[in-house]
Amino acid sequence: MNKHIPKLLAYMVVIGFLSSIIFWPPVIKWLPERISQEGKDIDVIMWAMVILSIVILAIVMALVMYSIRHFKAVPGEDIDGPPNHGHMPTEIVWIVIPTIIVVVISIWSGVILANAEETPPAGSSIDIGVDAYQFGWNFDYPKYSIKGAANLVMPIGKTAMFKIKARGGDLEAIESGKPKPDEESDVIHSFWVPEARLKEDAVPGYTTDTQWTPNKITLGVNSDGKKFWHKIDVVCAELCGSGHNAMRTHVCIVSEKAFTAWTKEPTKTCDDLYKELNA
Amino acid sequence: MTGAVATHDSGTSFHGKRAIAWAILGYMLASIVLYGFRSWAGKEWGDVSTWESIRQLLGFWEYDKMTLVGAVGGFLGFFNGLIGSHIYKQAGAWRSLFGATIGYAVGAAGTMIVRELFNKSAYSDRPIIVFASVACMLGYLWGVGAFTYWWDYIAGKATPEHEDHSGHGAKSWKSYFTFNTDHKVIGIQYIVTTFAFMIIGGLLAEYMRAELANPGLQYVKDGQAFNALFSVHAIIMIFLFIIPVFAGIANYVVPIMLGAPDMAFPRLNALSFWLLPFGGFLFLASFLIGPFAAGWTNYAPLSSTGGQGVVPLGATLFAVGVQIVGASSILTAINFIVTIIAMRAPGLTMWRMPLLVWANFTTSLLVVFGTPFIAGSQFMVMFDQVMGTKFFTTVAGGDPIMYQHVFWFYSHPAVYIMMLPGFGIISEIISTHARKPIFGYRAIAGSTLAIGLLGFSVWAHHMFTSGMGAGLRVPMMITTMLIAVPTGIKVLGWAATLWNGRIHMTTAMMFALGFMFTFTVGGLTGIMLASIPFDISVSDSYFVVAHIHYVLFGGSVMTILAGIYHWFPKMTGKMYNETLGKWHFWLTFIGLNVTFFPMHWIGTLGMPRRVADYSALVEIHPQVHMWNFIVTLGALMQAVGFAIFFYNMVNSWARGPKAVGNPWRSRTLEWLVSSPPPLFNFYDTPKVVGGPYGFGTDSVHAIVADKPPAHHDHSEGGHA
Repeated sequence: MNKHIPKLLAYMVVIGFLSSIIFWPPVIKWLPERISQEGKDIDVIMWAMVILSIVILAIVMALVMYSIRHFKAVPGEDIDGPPNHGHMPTEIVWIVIPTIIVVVISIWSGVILANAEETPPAGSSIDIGVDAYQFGWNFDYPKYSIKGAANLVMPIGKTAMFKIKARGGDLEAIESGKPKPDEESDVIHSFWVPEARLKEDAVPGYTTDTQWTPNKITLGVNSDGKKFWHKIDVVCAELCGSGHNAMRTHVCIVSEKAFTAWTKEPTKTCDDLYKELNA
Repeated sequence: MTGAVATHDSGTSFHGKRAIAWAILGYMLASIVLYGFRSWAGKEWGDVSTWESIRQLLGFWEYDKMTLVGAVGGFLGFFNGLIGSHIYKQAGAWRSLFGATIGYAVGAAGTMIVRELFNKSAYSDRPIIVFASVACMLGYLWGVGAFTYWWDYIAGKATPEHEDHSGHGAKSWKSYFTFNTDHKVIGIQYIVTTFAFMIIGGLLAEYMRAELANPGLQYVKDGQAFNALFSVHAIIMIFLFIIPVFAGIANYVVPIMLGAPDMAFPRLNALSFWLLPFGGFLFLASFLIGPFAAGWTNYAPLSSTGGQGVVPLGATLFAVGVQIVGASSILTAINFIVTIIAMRAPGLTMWRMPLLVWANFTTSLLVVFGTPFIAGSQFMVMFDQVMGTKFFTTVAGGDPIMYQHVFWFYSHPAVYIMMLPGFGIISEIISTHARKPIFGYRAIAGSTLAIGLLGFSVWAHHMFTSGMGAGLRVPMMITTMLIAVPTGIKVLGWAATLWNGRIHMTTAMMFALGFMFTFTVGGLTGIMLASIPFDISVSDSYFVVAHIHYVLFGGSVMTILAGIYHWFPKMTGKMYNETLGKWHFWLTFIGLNVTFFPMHWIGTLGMPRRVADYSALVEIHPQVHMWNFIVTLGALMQAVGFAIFFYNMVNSWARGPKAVGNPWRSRTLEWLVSSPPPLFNFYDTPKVVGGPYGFGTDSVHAIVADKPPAHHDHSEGGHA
């Protein structure tokens, strides 16, 4: 085994290097622009797991490729390999080390999850109701008594506490304990903004929740005075019928000032807001 | 109408003109009977008035109830004319079609009569679909001969003291179309049938990729049509290809590996097989009446009430079909469990069993414990569709998330059902073609059981974003992550088996080596998906599509193909063409990576699953168009590879060079008999004296007689 190790390491390095190429940003873009605070830790653990995966793949494939190269049967000669049935110490190593690795990833994941779901300090959040239906999205802002906004307009820096509902399943009826006669139910949808890195299903009869804090303005005027709009959509991520692929609507993250102005005219869409910018 | 006196003897004869005449007569008779019944019932059928129904009677090409029933009558007449009365006596494929038709007619008519008696409208599509399809299945099974022996026994007829084995073993290609009790025949029936369904599932995939090559809708009418494509694609691939093809390979190989003459329950074995094409037929028939389109996962309420839309009629066929393919799977699993426990040859202790047997044993336990749950979930959906129950309507006390728990409680173990036999195959192939004992036999056997057991504790990792109780998430993350450990034991064990071996680069070995790469990639993305925060970001996106296809195609299918090449000489007695095999390998391996690797970043960029059109995403990330196009090219490459595979298989089976008993110089029992094996596998019960992977020494696994003993005693050997 000892004489093989340097060459084996060389195989690992080469395979690891080649595998990593597809992750270099100029080669392939993997992630859309991140616009939420909570997304940072999620991206970090993703890349950590990618690196770990490259290492593991390199180990496995180095062993395989090396074996193919150096342990091929000689043509014409049909002998067996050595009768090696196993080696307990090796097997223990490759039980213990992966267990440690997955426990570490689990703990780290659990911490990220807890942080992402921590209740924000008072005053730093905004409640947004998400109304999912076949096949569109409406948003409510209870604090401003806004109902049925067509686009998701968000103020930067305020943690959005989303309360997500699919239509159907009358909550008042459930809470009052008196079921109403059968009403047409909607179906399960899923509230996903890829740039925010978080999603949660909308389930008829439930109010589910998720939260994230936008930390990047996507619609505004930049320092050169030019207006910009980085288009970001809410995507439905649960098959909901014939209109599933079209069930999208725009998200725009604006400055606090612009948001306050919008709350006074909530029928404006992101499109309208962009057109109105003087730049 | 001629042909009143026909001079047939035993066997079938064909009379074309008489068949056509009978078809027309049957059609008219059936339509008149139905019209008469309708008039007597005095009720309208849907919105069709009496005059309209007479008009439709004559409109042959209109797909409506009157014409359908008339066509049923015509079909029966056609058979009657074509084959004569012998169809009723000779069990087989023809009679199964006849039985299916009669069954359907009786089921439909029976449903309508009972409804009529209970003062409901006679015709209601969903109840008829349920009862008629079940009756159709019973008629079909009767026709194929599944019940003959059991019925004779129940009816008290004299049954032979010793089986005459007339329904056992393949005498010609025709035997493969009969209810045959020989596990080797059944194994081949399974393999051929499942690959036929794989072609259908694959064509559906190619259709989807053609649509997704460019943004916008080009080849499907609307989103709903596309939804049907992936729904049927997945259910066919899962229940009519991967799960049963492993059952077929195991059916052929495992009894011989155990030193047994057949499975414990040969008739049950045949029944398991014959259930399968019927279930597949139901899924495909849904295209005729409105295909199911809620994904193979069939989430309620989309599948049960459809929300604001209408649940397609085919969704009820889906619910019935799942029961049938599930039953097939369960019956086979029972057979394997009993066979493996009770029919091992003397000396074959559990720790001397080949790893394929361990794998199929564990898989069968998963099937038996898990499959009833998917059956239950589909029953609830079906009752909601057909009877208006409210299992998933919260106003009435139901719960949509409950569906997901019940469904995934099976469907997660299902992925191990789809992988563990493949792991067993890889163990056999790597040790044989690298001519080395498996590294860590007990660890691999133990890890198989561990994966099986742990596999029941992870289902909610499919539900991290579902809104289920938050406290379930972290425990399920931990159990999911832990499954990586026994899986890693296997992958590293196989790598260590290759190390220092004498590797023969046969096609089977190449598929096994390719599997090492693609399965590792799939397993690693699985670990990534186990992490809840990352999963939340990519759940229901193309990242998951990439993961599932890396483990199902890069995992299961690679092992299936490896197994086919490995056991092809044993099953057919012929050798396949190695050059074509290698072409198949490279086209498949490169094709599958080109198809599924880009899906990872297409998903992280924001493309959700199950969408027919991604034009909105292209506005934000234009490169998604290019990558989808490349993915489609990869799919085409795979199709070419499979075309070469099918040509190689058929051509080699028909005309290939004869294969010897042990072309790979392997050690397990199936290689110690001829290719193909004798009728009951062994001339005398073998005696196992050592482990199955004794490479590198002179150790012997088993002693096998090379000719029958002097006095062959019929009371030995399994006669079930």
